[in-house]
Amino acid sequence: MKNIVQFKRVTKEFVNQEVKVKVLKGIDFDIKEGEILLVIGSSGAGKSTILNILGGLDTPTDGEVIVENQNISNYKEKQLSEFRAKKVGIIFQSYNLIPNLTALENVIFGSEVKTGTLDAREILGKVGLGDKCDKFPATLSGGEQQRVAIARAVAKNPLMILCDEPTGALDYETSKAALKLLEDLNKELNKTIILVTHNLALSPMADRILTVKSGKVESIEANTTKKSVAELEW
Amino acid sequence: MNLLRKLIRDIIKSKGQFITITLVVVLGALFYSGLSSASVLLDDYTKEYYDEYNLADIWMYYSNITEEDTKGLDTLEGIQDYELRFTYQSRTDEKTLKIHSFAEDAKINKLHLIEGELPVNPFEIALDYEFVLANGISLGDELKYKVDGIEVSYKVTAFIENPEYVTKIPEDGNNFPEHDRYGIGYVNYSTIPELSVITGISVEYDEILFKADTDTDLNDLISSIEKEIGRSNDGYLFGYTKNLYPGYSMLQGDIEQFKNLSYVFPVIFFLVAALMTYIAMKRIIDTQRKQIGIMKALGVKKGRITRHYLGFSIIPCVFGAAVGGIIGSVLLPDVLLDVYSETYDLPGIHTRVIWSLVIPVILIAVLLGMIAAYLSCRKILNERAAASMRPRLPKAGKRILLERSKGLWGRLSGKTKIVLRNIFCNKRRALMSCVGVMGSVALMITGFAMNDSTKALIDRTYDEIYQYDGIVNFSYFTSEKGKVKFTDPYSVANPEGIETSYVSTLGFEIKDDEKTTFGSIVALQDNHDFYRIIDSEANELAVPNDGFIVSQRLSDLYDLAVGDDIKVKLTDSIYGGETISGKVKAISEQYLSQEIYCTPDFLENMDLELKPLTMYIKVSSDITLNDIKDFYDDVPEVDSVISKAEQKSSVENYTKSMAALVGMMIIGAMLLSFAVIYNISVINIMERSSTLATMKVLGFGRKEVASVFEIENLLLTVLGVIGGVPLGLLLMKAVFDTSATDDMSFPYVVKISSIVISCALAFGYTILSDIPVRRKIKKVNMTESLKETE
Ligand SMILES: Nc1ncnc2c1ncn2[C@@H]1O[C@H](COP(=O)(O)OP(=O)(O)OP(=O)(O)O)[C@@H](O)[C@H]1O
Ligand SMILES: [Mg+2]
Repeated sequence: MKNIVQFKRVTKEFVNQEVKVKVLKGIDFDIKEGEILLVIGSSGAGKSTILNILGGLDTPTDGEVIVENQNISNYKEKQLSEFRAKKVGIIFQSYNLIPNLTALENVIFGSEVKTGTLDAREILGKVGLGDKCDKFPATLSGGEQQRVAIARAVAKNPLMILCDEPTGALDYETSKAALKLLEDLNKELNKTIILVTHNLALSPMADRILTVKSGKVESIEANTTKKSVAELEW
Repeated sequence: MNLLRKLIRDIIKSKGQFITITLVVVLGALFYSGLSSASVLLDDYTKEYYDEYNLADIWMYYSNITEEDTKGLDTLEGIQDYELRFTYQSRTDEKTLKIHSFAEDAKINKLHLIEGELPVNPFEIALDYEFVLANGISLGDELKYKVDGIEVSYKVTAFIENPEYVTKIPEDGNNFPEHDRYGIGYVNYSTIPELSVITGISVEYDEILFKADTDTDLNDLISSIEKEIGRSNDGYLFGYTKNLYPGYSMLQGDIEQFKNLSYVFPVIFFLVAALMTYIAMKRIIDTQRKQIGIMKALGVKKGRITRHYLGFSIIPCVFGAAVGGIIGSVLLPDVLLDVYSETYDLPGIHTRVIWSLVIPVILIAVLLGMIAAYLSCRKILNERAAASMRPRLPKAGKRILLERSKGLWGRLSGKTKIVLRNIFCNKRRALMSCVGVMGSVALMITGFAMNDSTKALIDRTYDEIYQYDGIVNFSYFTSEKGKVKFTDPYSVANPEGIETSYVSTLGFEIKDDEKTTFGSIVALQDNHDFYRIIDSEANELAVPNDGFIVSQRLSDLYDLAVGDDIKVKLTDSIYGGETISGKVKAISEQYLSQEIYCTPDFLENMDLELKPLTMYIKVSSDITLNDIKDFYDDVPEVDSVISKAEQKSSVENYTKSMAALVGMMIIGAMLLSFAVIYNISVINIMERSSTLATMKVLGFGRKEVASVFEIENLLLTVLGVIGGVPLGLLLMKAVFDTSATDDMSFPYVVKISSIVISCALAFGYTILSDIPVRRKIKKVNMTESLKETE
């Protein structure tokens, strides 16, 4: 499988009130096309920071991030937003739907930035919201909203889907359904999925697991005993 | 939890908004306090000035009168004081000094000494300060002036001003001061006998000043004085009450107009400011729903939360009102008085902070701010904590009208849908923003219209109503070596090449329980070549033979309709206070004075003796106005010849002080509008910062993100402008109606270009306001703004 992303000696410093905090201290890893990569680590380890840099939401202080042979680490703002539009779908713990658009419209809206997108209604059907297309986010439950957010990321048909604790606010059943959705997507469309989580019980669903500790990569391991989400319990 | 600290942090966080709200309040307070201070200042000043120097209530002129003649006055009711004086003119070739004698113990029209010492010896003179300044005169200078052709030399010992000459209009010229060639002087009475020896003029008094007891009807008093030493005495010429005395009445008219303007306009300013505060507060509180919910969940008492948010609006209101109020009351009157001082001489007037005006402004601002804040957080506070922690629901299921058309709606881009729903799902909020824009546009239109209307009233008066080329004013009487002869205008020979029309003008007074209006009855031959009377539709009206045409304003003020009887009292002393009445035959459009028209026959049938002291002239091509002026130069019966152009420019001059005021209002309206529109933009973007961050995350470019806000602001502006134009026209009418005075009423005129400029400015401001939107979009930190769910 080919590498679509390479992190090379990526560091990140935040400057807060003249105090420099080094959050990432030289991160090296790569992401293979079509894999599910699980990112784990304790709170404050730097997982979200890695994901934000990968998603083009933030830039590294030093080092290189190569996505499909392009070094995005020194992209200008305009190129970055182009990158976000074309290459990534992002799902956060907070769903970040546009309150004034219906579920369907939110999904379509997310795809307006790019061509070669999937049918919004069909994807919403897949996440089990076929009958709620015309509802506004505020009238949907948290799980439903998260599924809309997932559908939005998926329908765009990006190179990779980044999830930062997507199930953090969901109950067990809903979490499972949401993860199942991502898994199906990975299987059916061969989408690359990067999943940040605290839940170690999810490890079996991943192809590889990246462990981050205090801004460094502690380990990156292949999972030899892959299980489907349906088989997992926690 | 320390709420004060939260308050301060909140304020710092939304400082942009805080600044704009404060700015709006500052502007509102600035204009409110500035204009009302100026008006109060002028009012107070003139009252004090008149009081301190004891302005006369009545002036009466005689060809000569002795102290013996006035004995009878001592028994008359209503007279507090009277003084006799001597008045004559001294000239050089270019300059004229009107000179009064004064007694050292004078009690009426006392001199306000500016520099030097009041004259004690003969031929020492006190000069009006404006004349001194315009002519570069120093104390101790010797002036050589002629009296009746004989040169006399004066020594300047004092510079003075006098309340009877707050404006010094030359008697032989246009209607505005010309300080370089016309001044007022006062000499000690001891000068008169010596002057008489040199020049042969009479040593007798020719003027009496009266101070009436308070609450005396001046017109009644003048009649009774006339009975005593007036009409039977051959030397009596005429008398004025101060209401007709030019210096006094002009200034009072101006002050009145000023007063009217100074409250209508600023009140609107203030209301717009209050509305803005409300909108802004509402949005701040809406974005803090969750925090309010949390505070409530934590058990913070409702009262404390309310106080917390009241603090939010009270701070900018107090601060803004105080700063605006104080700056306004120092700065604006200064500028306005400067303009006023071109026409009026008000020695020693200076601006000061009028706390009795500023403090109420602050209190009103605080009250409005508190009401705004209270109204805006009342609803949330009464919700359950759980409900307010949840973000507000967009009214679910309630779709906008446009969505009915599935085909069209489906084709719109998501951006457009966001914009449309933003506006139409929050109709009330959109409406308030619109009202802000509407108010701004309306204010600007009104300001510009004021300017247009002033110009139009002059143009209409001089181009449509007055058809003559000039007027010849005859003197009421001529005197030769002390012998007075009343003028018979018909006996005065006129030059070849002019058409003439003699006009009699009779002063009148009309009053009801609340008010009194002065005007003149103009007895016109039905001669349209000289004077066209028009109605509100600009149709020409014929002068009736059996009644009067009255002005629109008189008809409004005294509820007179066509067919009613109108009753007026004649104020010219020769008519002895007679009251006449007649039918109102038509209502005419007039802007500059309150005139009643009728034919001379109609008046003569009432047994009134007419004195046509004005003659309209039309000039044929063989002769110029200058020739005509030269012709009459040596005719003693002719007082002055004034061309229509001169009349027009003098009125234009007269409206200068108003123009300054209007200019200031236009600037104010423009600034306020900018603050309002800017604020609306800033609020909009603040409120939608999560949408903004989400769009950025989704990969929308900066321009596309910005366009969502820009289109929304633009649409609101379009709606605001559409509503603002009719509102502006209504406001214009209201402002014009309230600011009309007897001297000037404003036609409802606004140029298309003024409307276009006002609208264009609103759009311009909206586009300008997009700059902070862009900046904010650039600055927004996606990772941070997505962390918080609010
Ligand atoms: N904008 C910022 N300014 C300063 N420090 C920051 C900023 N964002 C993150 N940090 C710091 O960087 C470190 C890593 O943050 P990050 O959000 O990547 O952690 P994480 O691994 O995602 O933690 P969690 O599992 O709790 O989400 C933290 O110590 C955090 O305090
Ligand atoms: Mg994190």
